[in-house]
Amino acid sequence: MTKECNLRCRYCYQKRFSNDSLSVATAVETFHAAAESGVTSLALTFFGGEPLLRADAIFEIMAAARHLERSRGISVTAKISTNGILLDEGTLSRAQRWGIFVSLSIDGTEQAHNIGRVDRDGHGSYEAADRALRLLAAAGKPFAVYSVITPVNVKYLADSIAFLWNAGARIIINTVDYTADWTEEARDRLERQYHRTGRFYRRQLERGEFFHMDPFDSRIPAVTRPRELKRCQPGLSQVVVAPDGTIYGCLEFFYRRLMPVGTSSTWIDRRSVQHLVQTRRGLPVECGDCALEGRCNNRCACINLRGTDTPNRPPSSLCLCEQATLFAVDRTAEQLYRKRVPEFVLRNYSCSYHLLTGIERLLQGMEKNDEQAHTG
Amino acid sequence: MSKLIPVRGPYLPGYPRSLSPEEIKLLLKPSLTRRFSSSTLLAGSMLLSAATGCAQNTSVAAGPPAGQVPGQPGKPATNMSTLKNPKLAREVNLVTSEILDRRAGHGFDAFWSDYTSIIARRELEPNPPVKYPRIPICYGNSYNGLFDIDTAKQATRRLFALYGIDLERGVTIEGEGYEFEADGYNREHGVGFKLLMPEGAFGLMGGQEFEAQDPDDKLDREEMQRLASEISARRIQFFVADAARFPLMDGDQSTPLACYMASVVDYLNWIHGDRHIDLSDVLGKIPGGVPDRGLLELDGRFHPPLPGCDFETKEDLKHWTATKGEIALCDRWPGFQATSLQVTLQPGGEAVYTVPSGKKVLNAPSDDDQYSKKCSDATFGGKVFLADAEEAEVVVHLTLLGTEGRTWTFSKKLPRKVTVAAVEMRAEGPRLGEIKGLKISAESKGPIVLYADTFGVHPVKIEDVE
Repeated sequence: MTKECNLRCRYCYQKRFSNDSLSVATAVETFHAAAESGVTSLALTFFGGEPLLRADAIFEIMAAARHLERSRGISVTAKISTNGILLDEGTLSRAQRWGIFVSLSIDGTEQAHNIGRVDRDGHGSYEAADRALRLLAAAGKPFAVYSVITPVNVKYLADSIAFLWNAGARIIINTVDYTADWTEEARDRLERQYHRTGRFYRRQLERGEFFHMDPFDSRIPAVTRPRELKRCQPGLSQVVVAPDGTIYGCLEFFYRRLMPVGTSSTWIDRRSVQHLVQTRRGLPVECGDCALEGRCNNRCACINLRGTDTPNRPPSSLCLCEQATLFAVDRTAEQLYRKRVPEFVLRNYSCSYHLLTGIERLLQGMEKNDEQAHTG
Repeated sequence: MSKLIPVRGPYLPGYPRSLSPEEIKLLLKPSLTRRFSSSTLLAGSMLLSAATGCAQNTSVAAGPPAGQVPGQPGKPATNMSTLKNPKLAREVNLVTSEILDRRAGHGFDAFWSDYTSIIARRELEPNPPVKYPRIPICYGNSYNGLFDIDTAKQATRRLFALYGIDLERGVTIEGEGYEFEADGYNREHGVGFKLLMPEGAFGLMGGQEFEAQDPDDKLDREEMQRLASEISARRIQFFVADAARFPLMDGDQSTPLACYMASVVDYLNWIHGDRHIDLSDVLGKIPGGVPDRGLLELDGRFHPPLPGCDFETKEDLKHWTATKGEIALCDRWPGFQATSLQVTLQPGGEAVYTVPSGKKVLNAPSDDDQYSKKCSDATFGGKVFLADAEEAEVVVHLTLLGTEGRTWTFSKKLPRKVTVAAVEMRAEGPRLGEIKGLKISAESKGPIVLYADTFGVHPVKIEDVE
């Protein structure tokens, strides 16, 4: 939505900030081009910079997308990633009315958050993020929180997860900053912290609570349901629309203006996508020898570009952190399996679990809406 | 180019890749272990065993039946004990010697072995006692902290492996009322070990710091009781020792490591059915076993304490008075013995010792005078703690009180910004003749706490008088 942001997070992969913004017209043009090309479903993600700097434009775009949904029968889902500073009751209410799923970027406890998420003057932004978190929890609709783990804040990881849970977050996504300098010591700390976090995750599952937490809910299915696992496929399963209407395979390709795959007026160019796919083929020999190949993030072109300037070679930090993560995740999963925790067994082995969970959450949401309608 | 280190060899997660609907159903079917507590299940199994006439001896002190590998009842008897199996004994000796040799290489190595006695202490009631070294700590030797915990853990894994028990690291052990992370565990045999990790500062100057642990990782005393019950019920076998009880003196890793490894071997013999353990024996060698005052035997440097100044009984306090301060016995810094004198002085306060009636203390030459016959010295082995770490210089005075108002004071200036200061108050001067007592005072802005192992004067002649 914009390359401007009201924060200057120390680990942000966006290095240059500007007023470059995606116009409503370009977005709508892209929808129509996609629809003309036979696209039947769109999963929109509004990101930035800080997308809520352009809240009004987002809601206009959503209005156009919903119109397209009704007129052309294209299914549309949408989410937004925000740092929460501009999230107030009014904005949240509008977002929910348009069916936008909100993801809040918060790194956990005050110490964990304020180390990295700072404003232009270097001041921590925890207060605003915490306020947004409470607001989302109070609204009663599902939302996600995104946390970035760095060597500096990893020591707070387990405490942060417990903190976020206690504040009402039930979908927690952890992202490791692979561009940071992860030493062996920091890697060990990551494993220990994930191990502790795993215990917390396990306890919630044992109590039958709904708790989705990455990496557990992404890395365990990579073993138990590999076919259903959606791997990142730049240009094929996802694209980024730049403010000037150029379409790129993924974020880092957009930041680097690398290998565009289409435009907002023409949609995706197959040859360009093929070229991109071919460029991404091939992994280092070391990865071929690794027992964790297939479950590791080594194929993420964005991470690789950020870390090594090539889409096919992962940075050393990824290798260290992925091993730490996977070992900790597997230990947690093993304990859950041995304890025959129903939530774990069903979530990871039952074909109908996810369908039923979806229905369950839908019904719960409907009940909630009814309640609000009656009380409102 | 980035450095990638692949995980080589087979790696399989400990949970299945897929389950059929039938398996899921079976897995989620309430089982007895999920429905009933372990104590109920134990009682039930005993009743069932009695009813079918095949009850086993499950007395608390017993491990698995002799010759059986833990967790595998019914397996043919083995001969896995260093006392019965010479080949195993040789292998164990090779491994332990290698580990101890690796620790050698400087003058202090195994220095304390001959002065060490063994404290046999049961950490878990059903297990054999652990052999903790009692290394005499005095103010002349350096209590550096604790022994090399990593080496101890590696040694344990190697020793278990010699008995055919390969240990996996980082397994979380959970049972009724306990949960902790094992340092090594063998799932097949249900046997493992846990070295209780210390927390806080260790060493004379608090030089070795251990971080607080994750409560889920550690095994606390309450959990240990429950674990002991599980061991008694033969559901699991665990060797548990307390790392904080293996001190490192003067860099001598060998002595505590030898005691530790001997405990592991004892344990491994024990769980394989061998009950003949010589608890004083460390890897075939009986340690020195000097029970107290280890330095006494070293070179005769010991200064006998003044009467009532070894602070081992409350009676000793009768000879002391304090103004603007308090005196008490405590177990901190007791040197070679069990207790020491604790003196707390407010600014301007003093503590005074008076030679008890019936005793005459002469500051006179004696046969064990090793320094000089022309002068005398007084010793005070102790520690002084300053209440305020930021306080500027503090001066502690020790004054010997002679007859006819004669006194001899020696003073120690303590550096700034310290919380613990070693006080080695030894000074030389003219002899006083008869000593009637001594006085401790300090120049400080805040209170000080002083610990004394003993007070002594040298040379000294102590006589009984009517």
